[in-house]
Amino acid sequence: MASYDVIILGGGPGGYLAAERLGAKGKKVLLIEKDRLGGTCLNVGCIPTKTLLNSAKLYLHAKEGERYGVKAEGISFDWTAMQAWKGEVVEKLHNALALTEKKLGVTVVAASGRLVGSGKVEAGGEVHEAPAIILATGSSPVMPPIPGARDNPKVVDSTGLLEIASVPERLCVIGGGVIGVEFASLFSALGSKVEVVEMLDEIVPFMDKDQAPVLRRAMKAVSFRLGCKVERIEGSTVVYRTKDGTEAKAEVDLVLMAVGRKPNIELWGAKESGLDFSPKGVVVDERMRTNLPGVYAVGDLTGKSLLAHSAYRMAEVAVADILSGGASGPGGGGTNVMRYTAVPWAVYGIPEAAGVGMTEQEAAQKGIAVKKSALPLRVSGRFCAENGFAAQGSVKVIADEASGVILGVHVVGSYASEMIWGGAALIEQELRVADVKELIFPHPSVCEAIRDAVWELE
Amino acid sequence: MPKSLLVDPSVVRKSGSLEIASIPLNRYVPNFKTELARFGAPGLVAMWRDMVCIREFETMLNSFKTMGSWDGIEYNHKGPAHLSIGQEAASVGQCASLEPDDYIFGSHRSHGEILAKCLSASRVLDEKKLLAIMEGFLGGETLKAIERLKSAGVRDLAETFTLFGTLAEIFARKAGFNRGLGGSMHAFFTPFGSMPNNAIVGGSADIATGSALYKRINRKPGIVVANIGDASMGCGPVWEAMSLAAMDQYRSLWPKEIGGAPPILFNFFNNFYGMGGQTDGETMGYKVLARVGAGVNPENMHAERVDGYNPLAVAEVVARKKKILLEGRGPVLLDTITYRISGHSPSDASSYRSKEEIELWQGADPIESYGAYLVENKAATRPELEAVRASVKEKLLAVVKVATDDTACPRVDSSFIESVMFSNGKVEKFGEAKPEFLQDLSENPRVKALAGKARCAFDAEGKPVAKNKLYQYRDALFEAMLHRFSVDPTMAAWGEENRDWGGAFAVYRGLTEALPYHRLFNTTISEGAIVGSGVGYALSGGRAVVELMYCDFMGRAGDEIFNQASKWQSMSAGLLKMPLVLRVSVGNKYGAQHSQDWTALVAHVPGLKAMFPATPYDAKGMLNLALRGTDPVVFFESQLLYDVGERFEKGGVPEGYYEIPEGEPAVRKTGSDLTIATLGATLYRALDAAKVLEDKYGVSTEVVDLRFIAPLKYDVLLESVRKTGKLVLASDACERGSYLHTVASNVTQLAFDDLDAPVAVVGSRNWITPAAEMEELYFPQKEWIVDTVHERILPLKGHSSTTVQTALDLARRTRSGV
Ligand SMILES: Cc1cc2nc3c(=O)[nH]c(=O)nc-3n(C[C@H](O)[C@H](O)[C@H](O)COP(=O)(O)OP(=O)(O)OC[C@H]3O[C@@H](n4cnc5c(N)ncnc54)[C@H](O)[C@@H]3O)c2cc1C
Ligand SMILES: Cc1ncc(C[n+]2csc(CCOP(=O)(O)OP(=O)(O)O)c2C)c(N)n1
Ligand SMILES: [Mg+2]
Repeated sequence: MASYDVIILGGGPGGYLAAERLGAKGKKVLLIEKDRLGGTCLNVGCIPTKTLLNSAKLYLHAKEGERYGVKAEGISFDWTAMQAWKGEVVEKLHNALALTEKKLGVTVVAASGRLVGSGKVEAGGEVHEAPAIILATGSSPVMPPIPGARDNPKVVDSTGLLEIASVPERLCVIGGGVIGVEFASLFSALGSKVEVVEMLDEIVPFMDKDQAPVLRRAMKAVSFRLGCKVERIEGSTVVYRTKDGTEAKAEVDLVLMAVGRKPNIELWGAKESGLDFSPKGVVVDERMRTNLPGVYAVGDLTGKSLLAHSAYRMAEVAVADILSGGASGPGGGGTNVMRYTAVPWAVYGIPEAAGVGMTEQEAAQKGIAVKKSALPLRVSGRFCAENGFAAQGSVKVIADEASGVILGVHVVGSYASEMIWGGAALIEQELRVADVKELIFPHPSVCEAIRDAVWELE
Repeated sequence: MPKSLLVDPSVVRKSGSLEIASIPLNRYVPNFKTELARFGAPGLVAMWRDMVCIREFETMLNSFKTMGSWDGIEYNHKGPAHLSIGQEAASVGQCASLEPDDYIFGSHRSHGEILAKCLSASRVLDEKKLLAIMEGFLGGETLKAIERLKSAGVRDLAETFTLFGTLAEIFARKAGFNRGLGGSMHAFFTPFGSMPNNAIVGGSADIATGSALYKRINRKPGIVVANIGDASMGCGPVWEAMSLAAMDQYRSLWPKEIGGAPPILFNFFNNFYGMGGQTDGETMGYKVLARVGAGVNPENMHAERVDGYNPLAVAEVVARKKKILLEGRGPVLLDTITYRISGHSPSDASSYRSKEEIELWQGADPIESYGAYLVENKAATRPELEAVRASVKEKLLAVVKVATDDTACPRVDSSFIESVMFSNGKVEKFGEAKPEFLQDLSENPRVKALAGKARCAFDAEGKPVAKNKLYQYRDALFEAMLHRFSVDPTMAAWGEENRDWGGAFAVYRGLTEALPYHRLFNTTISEGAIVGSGVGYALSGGRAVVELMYCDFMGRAGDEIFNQASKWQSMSAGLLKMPLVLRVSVGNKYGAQHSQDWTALVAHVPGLKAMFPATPYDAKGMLNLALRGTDPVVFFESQLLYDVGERFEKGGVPEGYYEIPEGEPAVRKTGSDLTIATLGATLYRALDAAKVLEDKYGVSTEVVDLRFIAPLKYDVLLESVRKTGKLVLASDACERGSYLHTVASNVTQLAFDDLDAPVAVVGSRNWITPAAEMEELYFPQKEWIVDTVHERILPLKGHSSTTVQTALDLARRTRSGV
């Protein structure tokens, strides 16, 4: 039996960042990862998808280059080479991560861990003890009980799709969420005929209702079947029912099931240890504490916000609580708590979309009176120069009617993912319209559109 | 239990058969000569008049309830009206054989009985006395309301007074018999012997038994009647009351001069129905209600069935039974058959009985047939009777006019209701007699033993005194009991194993030697009747101390505690006092049904005082307080405490008399960073926790013992919280719904700005109490308190919780109902 200051279960963004932060403070940390350090994000999530999307974007740009005076001939892509590059990126980042942990003195154990109770984790047949434990076991893709979906080699989840040997001629994506839209962009850019079947009336359900159609319309080559419910899958044929009740089919070569992810709560003693959880995730408070004393949960496991950077922030909140002996939150006079109001999100498709804060619809639902402004990205000179004058793109800002505090920033168009942190900063700092007007944005840049939209708010 | 009674195997194992004597059914044979001789013609007509009064009164109410008007007067009576149309002969006949000193307790359907009793009493009471009663009642307010109505003398005025007082009460008027706080189902008028009526079916059975005990023990004149319905024979408390009333000991063990069994008549007004359930043939199995008497004692409870449609038959049987009761040979059971022509209540559509049946009984209408009987035997002429009816109607109209007039007849305000929730009296003794004892108290073995005990838990050097030399919590209770026994001649105590055994936890050890049987006795295992009889005893004018061995057994006495003891002072508008102390012991080690602290249940019910001493000094001082008061007190004790010595009062437990100031918590230990407030035995674990918090974590901890539940003064607690800003509340009650949550919420309201952290409540788990070996999983432990402080109030540097006390787990437990 070995004892540590902190034991971390799961080596994804939540787990590894917590380990780094604690290691940096000289804490004795045990990081238990059953698979590969880096978790979903590095191995089968954020990084590999973005790597492939970048390749696809390069391919598109090359094809479209003539308009901008750059002519290339014999343009083609090599899926195997793209995959190899993806593998190289993942591998190198993984190694760098392992090295960082090592440098910080974090003990990494390759084993499946099990929570025994407050202060105790079992891994590799050994019980380890620590006054604090961070649970970060992440999430897994949901395979819904649609007839014909399970054990069908033609139906893959995101992890499966990342590993395919060749680009399918026809792809049906079930689920128009972030993952679905990114893969739809990727494969349609590579020439697949892509159909997205979405049960709701719009793609990316949490997007602003004015913004989502902009994104959808920009994905010209993709066919969207909205308001359609998949009833069964026969081989590689997806049978769905349209809104008006008629049955329709998507006859394709491969089906991506992208209807969501579920927290990994099984197999590591959650129930036996008395931990409080539901199918939506482990219950935590604003300091990421669970009901068990000294036991924290972060990342996808909490079901609160399934994003790598949320996992990072949650990890930091938990770490702060541990380092302060429970004094980081309001009880101890601190303010270091997890807030979800300023968590940005991004869709790295073609084009990109990103947002942070409230949508106009959320505000209405909460009964908050807002002022809003929306502008096409054409207001940005750089956007026009780089995308042409017909390109789709839009920015929308909403602010509290009475106080002028910025409540939401939403962007569709290139660089959206890179600029959205700025929106997050405005919201986290509770800046008002008048404050933002005093900020200086670089010119020329696409993000200037945010500034223009703010100026439109009176 | 008494050694004087031998259980002889050769007797009880003998073969044979039990002979049960026959039970008379409707044996009355009318004999006008005898009847005339007994009542005289005016008396016989007066009975008819009373029956008409009841009929007209109930018909009037029925009209208001069903049509919103009567005789041209419009009025909306919102409350209940369980009418007794058809049952008039039964109540009038009964009261014809009762005197003002005889008490009747009743049910939801007792308008008729109130009227019959008051009218009969006002006919026999001395006129001067009668007037004085009316003038003195509620400061003359009831009388004043009808002073402008014409009357032919004091007795006639008394009739108007009765009709008005009852009706005004039903209409919730301030001039009503109970200032409108009793209403239709509870109204009563004690000066004429009409005692509380009860909206709880069968509720009067045990209360009336207690009232009869009061009469017997204190040698008061008269008998007590419990008027209850046939359907109440299915109620546990009714059987309990009959069992308690039939105990052998009254005649075998009690001093002969006491006079035998309590004079209680269980009169079942058998109208053959509950609400819609038919007792004979459907909901009961007795066929003939009177049969039940055979199950209670060898005398069959002197049971008889009597024809309640003939007032003279009822009067005759009641007179005979009264004699039996006064001779101490009770209890008596009467199966007084009758029929309610009206529905159970105005909403009753009579879907459960046939028209034919109602018509058959209407055909036998008691007023018509008794009237005809009077005419036939020339006690009155038809026109005379019609004149009586007309005069009743005329009077009723005048009374109704006043009682429906909102200006002439206002209602009480909220401050009045508040003012009668408790009587807050201090009464040394409820009687003037010399308190009875069997011995000089200086000879009492317990008194002698206590003289040699150390009244403080620590000796002069501060070392703990050995248990066998120690004056303990149980001794403190004993001293308080003995003191009041020696001051108040009416004080009596009863419960299970109170005598000889000395109370299950030896609190009463020594009292058996000191007190005659009628002041301390063992009862049937009838928790409902134990408490209910205490209620009846107290409201009749005596001081009672009843004991439920375990707090958990309060469930068995739920109605008596929550609906009876708690309500009668206020439902009587303060006319009744309730000097009743109910001792309950919070247990442990005996599992789920013997280990619960139910202070919260008691706290929730208005009208009860409740206290829970945790030290010998408080045990004596608080029981002294309770035993001089006039309010019902639920006195919680803990089996974890009976053998503790006094650890807080420097001089130990005083030998003399003293009281703890009501409602005031005690600071057991001062501190400046954190307050722990406890209720009950948890105090000692809190002190251990305070020690850990101070020694290990430097948290200066104040410990407050709430000791009172209701009333509770917050000043001491608030002052402490103002200083520390942090509060943990702990008791052995289950966390959910614990009384401490009320305290927490009040402190939050009253001292929000002073609080640095949420108030935490530590209670037992919301489970069954597991076996003694596993009790640490269930009852709050020292560690629970420390961990709660760490998790929810103030992170303790270097502390690792060993138990789960996080806020999130509280949420989880709440969500899953555990
Ligand atoms: C295709 C795809 C694309 C995505 N793109 C983005 C994106 O662009 N941006 C973004 O913010 N998010 C993205 N995400 C989401 C992101 O990957 C997750 O939010 C993030 O990985 C959550 O981190 P985590 O630490 O909570 O869990 P995970 O990354 O899932 O890590 C959990 C780790 O715990 C390990 N583990 C589980 N149980 C045990 C056990 N008992 N013992 C030991 N180890 C255990 C697992 O093996 C895993 O390595 C994407 C996800 C997918 C699937
Ligand atoms: C403990 C209790 N249970 C049920 C009721 C509802 N209830 C009121 S009267 C009544 C029927 C009582 O029948 P009985 O005792 O025969 O009296 P009756 O109404 O016939 O006069 C019932 C069930 C009640 N008031 N109290
Ligand atoms: Mg009945």
